[in-house]
This record gives sequence, structure tokens and C-alpha cells, in this order.
Amino acid sequence: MESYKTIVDYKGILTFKTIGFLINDLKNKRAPFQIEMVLFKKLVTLMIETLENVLKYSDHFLDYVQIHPNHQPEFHLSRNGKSFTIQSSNPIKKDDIQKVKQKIDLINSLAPDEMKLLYRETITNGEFTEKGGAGLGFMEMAKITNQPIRYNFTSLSNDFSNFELILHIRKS
Amino acid sequence: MDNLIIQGTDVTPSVNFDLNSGIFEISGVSRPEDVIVFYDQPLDWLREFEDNLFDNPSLKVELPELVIMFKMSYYNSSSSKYLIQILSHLKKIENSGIGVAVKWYYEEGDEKMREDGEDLADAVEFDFEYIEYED
Repeated sequence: MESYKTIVDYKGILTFKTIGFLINDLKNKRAPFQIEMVLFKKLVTLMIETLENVLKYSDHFLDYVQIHPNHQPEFHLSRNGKSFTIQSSNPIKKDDIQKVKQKIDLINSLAPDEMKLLYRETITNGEFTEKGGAGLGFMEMAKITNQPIRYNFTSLSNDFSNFELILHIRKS
Repeated sequence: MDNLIIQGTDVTPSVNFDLNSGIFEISGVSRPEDVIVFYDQPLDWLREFEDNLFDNPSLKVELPELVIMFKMSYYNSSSSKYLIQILSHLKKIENSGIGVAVKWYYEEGDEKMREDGEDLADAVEFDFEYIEYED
């Protein structure tokens, strides 16, 4: 029986450079973990979208994690048999929870054809903030994993909660 | 108007818009640190090109058919909306009477990259030619 193995593990402040290091870390693990090219590309995409999503909102929680370093962002990629799991967590302002929840719940409720329509509508007419987001990253995650995006919010303080994102993908 | 050449990096694509050959190529990885800043230059160039075409209709006669080649190994979701904007400019150019062919390259077996191309093609209502290549 194949056992659980960690492939990439990180806890700390995320920067653009850190994402580059973590991508290289995953590239170096491809051969030892015998990950075939198509699956590897999907894992890289999921990893980048997950980490960039955390990075986009880092300025919201930087001051908070300096006072509470144990609540710094975390990223974990692991394999259990044929299944790969990506887990990320980061503090999120409680005021932003509803917006994130609505985006993910909408994506999770759609059939593949409906997702295509939403993607097309978002990419052509979607409202993008200066952070660039309009839920495209979450759509990409759902398209690749072909499964609902799992998430949790856990209260950390009066102003912040922990946002945990969990993605599963199986080796075909 | 000069050709546009931007050297690629580990995180930004190569851009080569060559007016003499009519071949516009974007290739490599696209996950820029600042996606807005990176795509500003190609989008400005296309706007200027479009303005030139509309101001000087005789240019249309001199231009060869345009071929836009995408050879992306990876692009993030933030980049996709800029690829759409590039394609939208090319659509306007095509609508003005200039032939535009879009060639979408993807690595052998990389069905995701092909599907990503199909999503973009659907969004801008462009017919892409899909070309699989060996790495």
C-alpha cells in the first residue's frame, strides 16, 4: 500500500520570488515522485493559481501576521496513493469572507457547460479589480480538478479568519 | 511603425510582432509579477497598429495576411484576460478586411493547453488552427 508523502511544504510570508522557488522545488520533485507530464502541468497550474491567490491579498494581512507569526500563510502539496492534495491557508479579513464564499459557491454549483459560459463571460466582460481577480483562478482550479473546491473559514480574531483551500486531483 | 520585440524571461513571454512578414508570435511562460505593466506594451502597439490601418486604408493593400502564433507553455489566469484583449484587437483588424490566421501550438499530449485555446477561441469567436508539437 502506497503511503502518504509530502511533496512541497511551506509556511511563511509569500512573495513573487517565493512562488518561483516553490515552482522549482516541485520541478525537482517530479522525477523522484514519478509524476507524468500531463498531471505535472496540472499540479504546477494549481500550485501557481493557489499561491498567486494568497499573494494577491498579502497586503491585507501582512501587519496581522507580523504580530501573529503562527498564522502566516501555509502551502502543502502531498500525494496519497494516486491522489494528490493541495492545501493552502492564509488569514482573510472577515469583511471579505462573503465575497470569496459567493465566488466559490457559484463555481461549485455549475455544470461543466455552465462553467464554460461563466468563464467566457468573465474573461470578456468580467470586472477585474487592480488585484486582477474575478474568480478566474477559482474557475481554473475547478476545471482542472473536475471537483468542487473545498474550503473552510476559521475565526482567528475580531477582524481575521483563516481561509483554508483544499484541492484534490487524481492520477488517471 | 517599428516591429515589436520583447525578450522572454522565466515569467514573461517573448513577443515578436513582425510587420514585414506579418507574423505575430507570443511564446513561453506568462505569469508576470505585474501583468498590467507587462501587457501594456503589446496592447499599446496593437492600438497604434489599428489606428494606422484606419487612418491609412492603403496600408491594407501592402500588408500580407497576418498570422498570430501562440506557443505558450504556461499562462496564469490573470494573463488570460490580456490574451483575450490581444485577440480582440486582432478581431477588429480582421473585421477591417485584413486576413488574420490564429495558430495555437500545444505540446504533444497537453490537452489542457489545447482546451485553454478553445476557451479563448470561443470567447472571441475566432477560428484557431491547433498544432500539436513534440517537445
